Amino acid sequence: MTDKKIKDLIYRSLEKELTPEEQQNLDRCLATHPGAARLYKEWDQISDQVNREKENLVNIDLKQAILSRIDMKKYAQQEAKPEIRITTALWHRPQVRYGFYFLMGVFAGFLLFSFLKVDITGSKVQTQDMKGTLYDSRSFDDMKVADNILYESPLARAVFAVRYSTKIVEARIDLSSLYPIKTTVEFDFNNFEVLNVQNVSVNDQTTAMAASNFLQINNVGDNKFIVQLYNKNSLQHNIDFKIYQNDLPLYQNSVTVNKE
Amino acid sequence: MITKDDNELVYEVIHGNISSFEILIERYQKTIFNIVLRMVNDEETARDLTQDIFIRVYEKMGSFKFSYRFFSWIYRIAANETINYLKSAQRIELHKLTEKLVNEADSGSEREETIQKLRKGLRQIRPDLRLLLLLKYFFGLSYEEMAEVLQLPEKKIKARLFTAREVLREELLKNDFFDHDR
Repeated sequence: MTDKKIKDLIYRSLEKELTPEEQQNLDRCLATHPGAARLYKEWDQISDQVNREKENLVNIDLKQAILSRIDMKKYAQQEAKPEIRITTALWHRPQVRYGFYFLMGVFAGFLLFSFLKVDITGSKVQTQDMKGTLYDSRSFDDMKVADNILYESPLARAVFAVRYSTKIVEARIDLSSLYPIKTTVEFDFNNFEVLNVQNVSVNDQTTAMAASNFLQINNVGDNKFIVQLYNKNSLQHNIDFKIYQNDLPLYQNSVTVNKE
Repeated sequence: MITKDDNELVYEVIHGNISSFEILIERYQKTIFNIVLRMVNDEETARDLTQDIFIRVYEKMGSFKFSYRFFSWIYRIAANETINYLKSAQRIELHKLTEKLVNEADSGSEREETIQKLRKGLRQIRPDLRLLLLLKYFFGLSYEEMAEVLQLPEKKIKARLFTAREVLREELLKNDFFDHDR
C-alpha cells in the first residue's frame, strides 16, 4: 500500500468514513507498518485537541454593534410589496397548487386530444379519391360530366355545363339575350334540392328565384350563374333546362345525372 | 413557535423586516466569529471583521439567490473577507506581531500548552488551507458543503484538504506538538 493510500485511510478513519473492509485493511497496515502507526497516533492526537478546541468556541453578541452600523432603510422601501408575499403564500396553498396542476392537466389533455384527432396514420390517399366527402363534391373540376348544352339563336344564347358527384350537382349557366327571357331548371324535389345559386356576373335587370322543384332566372343581357343542387340519391335522374320568351318556349333539353 | 428557515428570513429582510436580520445575526455570529478568530488570531480584529462581514451580508442580501443555501453564502462572504484581510501586507505584519504576543503569552497547564501549539500550527499554514481545516474539523462541514461554500469541485476540496493536513502535521512536528517528540 502506498503512503498516500495509507494516509487517506487514516484520515477517513478519523472521519469515520471507512467501510468495515477498509477498516480491516487499515488495522492490518497499522500492525505491520510502524510509520503508519505513528501517523495514526499523531492524527488521533490532533483530532483529540481539535475536539477540545471546539469546546472553546467563544460566545459573542455583536447584534447591537452590527445593527448600529447598517442602513436600516436600505430595504424599507420594498416593504410596500405585500402582493409578492401573498402570491407566494397563495402558491403554497394546496388548493391553488393542485387546482393549477389540474387545469394544466386538462389543457394538456385537450392538446393531446387535438393532436390525436389529426390523421397520423400516414395515409397517402388524395382528397379527390375520397368519394362522398363534401370537399370533393364541391370541386367542379373533379366532378363527372353530365352534359354540356349549347343553345344559340338570334334571340338568345345559353350554355349549360352540368357536372355531378355523389352529393352535389353543379350547373354553370351562361345566358345572353338582348330581350328578356325566362330560363328554368326543373327537377323532382324527391331527388334534388337547391343548395346555392351564385351570381357570378349578373346585372341589375336579371333576377333568380328558387323553389322546391325548380329554379327560375329572368334574364336580360349577359349573365353567369353557378347553381348547386343537393344530389339526394345515386339513381339516374333528369334535370330539365327550358328557355321561354314571352311565355313561349324557345328551347328545352334534359340532362341525366348519376349515369354510373 | 415556528422556526423560520434562513431563506425565509432573508426574504423578510429584503422586504424591510429588520428583526429577521437580527435572528440571522443571532444564528450565525458565533460560528462566523470563531472561524474568523482562528483565522486572524486576534479577538479585537475578529470582532471587527465579523461585524464587517454581517454588514456586507446585509448590503448584498438584495442580490441573494434563493436557489442557494444561506449558510454557504454567508460562509463564502466570511471566507473572502477574512482571506482578503490576511492578504494585505500590513495585516500580515500585524498578524506576525499578534502571533508573537500570543506566543509570549502562552503559559499554563500542559493541556493549555498543547492547544496553544495546535493554534500556532494552524496560524503558520496558508490561510486558504487553514480555512479548509477549520471548516472541516472545527465546524464539521461535509465535502459537499465545503465545495458549495468555496465554490470549488468536491474533488479539488479533497485534494487541498489532503495537502492542508500534511502541512499542518509538518508545522505541529516543528512545534513539538506530538507526544513522541517529548
